Amino acid sequence: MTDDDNILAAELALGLLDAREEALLQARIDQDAAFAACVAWWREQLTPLVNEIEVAPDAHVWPRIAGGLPSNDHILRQIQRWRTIAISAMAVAASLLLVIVMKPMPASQSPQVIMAARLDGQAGTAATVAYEARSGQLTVVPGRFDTSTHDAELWIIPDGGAPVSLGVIDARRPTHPSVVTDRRPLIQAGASFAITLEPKGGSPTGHPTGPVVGAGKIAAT
Amino acid sequence: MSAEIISLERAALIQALQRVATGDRAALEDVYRRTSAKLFGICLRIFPVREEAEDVLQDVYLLIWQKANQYDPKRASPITWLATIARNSAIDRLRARGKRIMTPIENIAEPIDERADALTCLIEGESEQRIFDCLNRLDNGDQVLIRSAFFEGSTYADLADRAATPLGTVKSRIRRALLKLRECLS
Repeated sequence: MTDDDNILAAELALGLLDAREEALLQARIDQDAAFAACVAWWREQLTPLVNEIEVAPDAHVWPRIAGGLPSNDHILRQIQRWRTIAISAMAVAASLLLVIVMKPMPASQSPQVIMAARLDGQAGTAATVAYEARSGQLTVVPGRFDTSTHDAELWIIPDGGAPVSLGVIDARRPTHPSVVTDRRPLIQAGASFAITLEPKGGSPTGHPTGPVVGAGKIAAT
Repeated sequence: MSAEIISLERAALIQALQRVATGDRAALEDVYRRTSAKLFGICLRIFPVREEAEDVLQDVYLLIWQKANQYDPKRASPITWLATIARNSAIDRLRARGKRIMTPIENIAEPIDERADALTCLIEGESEQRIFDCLNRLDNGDQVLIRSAFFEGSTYADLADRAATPLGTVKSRIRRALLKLRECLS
């Protein structure tokens, strides 16, 4: 490591750089093991400084943290769980509310295609979700589930794929959220909708972390 | 802390984190008991209002709960890994709000040296102590700048504003100090 590299590593460990510079160096960490080791060395050296500033949090903080934890998850278990859901959803697909509505439209326009699924869970129907492909708009009619301490997040799960978030939904009233353009192609027959309970503001990881309150597959056309 | 206690503590923390990765809530409580004062200290330096720091701390332990399976003891000591999560969470939250810590840093030009007593350094000469020893060998102003960067997440630009000093001057001072630190720590 040159002096310059050493300084860069220390700057990164200390957080002296702005976000853009940090992002550039992050790429180098991923590729340059020696540089990554140098950054790690600086982090280890600096860590004892935190002994200088210890402050015990108040007693009420831990119960709050413990109460807000989602059921634990990590990638492997998550994938297994989602596979199970996808398979069982497939098995009962025919019994779910799966509708394709073709409305008569002027010949020059693409037909209005509405895809819908009922999202069933252990406690009954969590929601009914319909999607209008041309406008990219969802209609989400929530059932009853408790969101006093969590937010409900809607996911689209491509057949055999990993869940992709469609955002946090309002659990108290029907809403018409618009789907982000690049996620629209995921919503098609064979994919499943699911709702999970997540920390307020939605899953912090981009993957489902909490319990599934309902899931349902969009019927094949 | 003696080196033995430090390594026992480290082993216990590694074990606890590995149990957290399996979804063990009691293990997370164990991690919390061992580390919350340090991590709360980090949050408080960036969010001095206690309620806000508590919110950050809650996020931090939620992240630990979710990311424990990513912790690799070969790449970082557990406390470094945890402290990095805490610092990054707090700094990200601050930046997401478009805020920066603007408390002035004064008198960085003064080379007043409050060196720790040499004897104390010898007695406490454990590896954990070395960073304090080495920081103490820097000019006072350089120490303040480096501590502010570490504790408050201040970038070069923030430090230059806070110390009312040109950016170039702050950068070259800190870089010189970092090389001295590196030499002392190695």
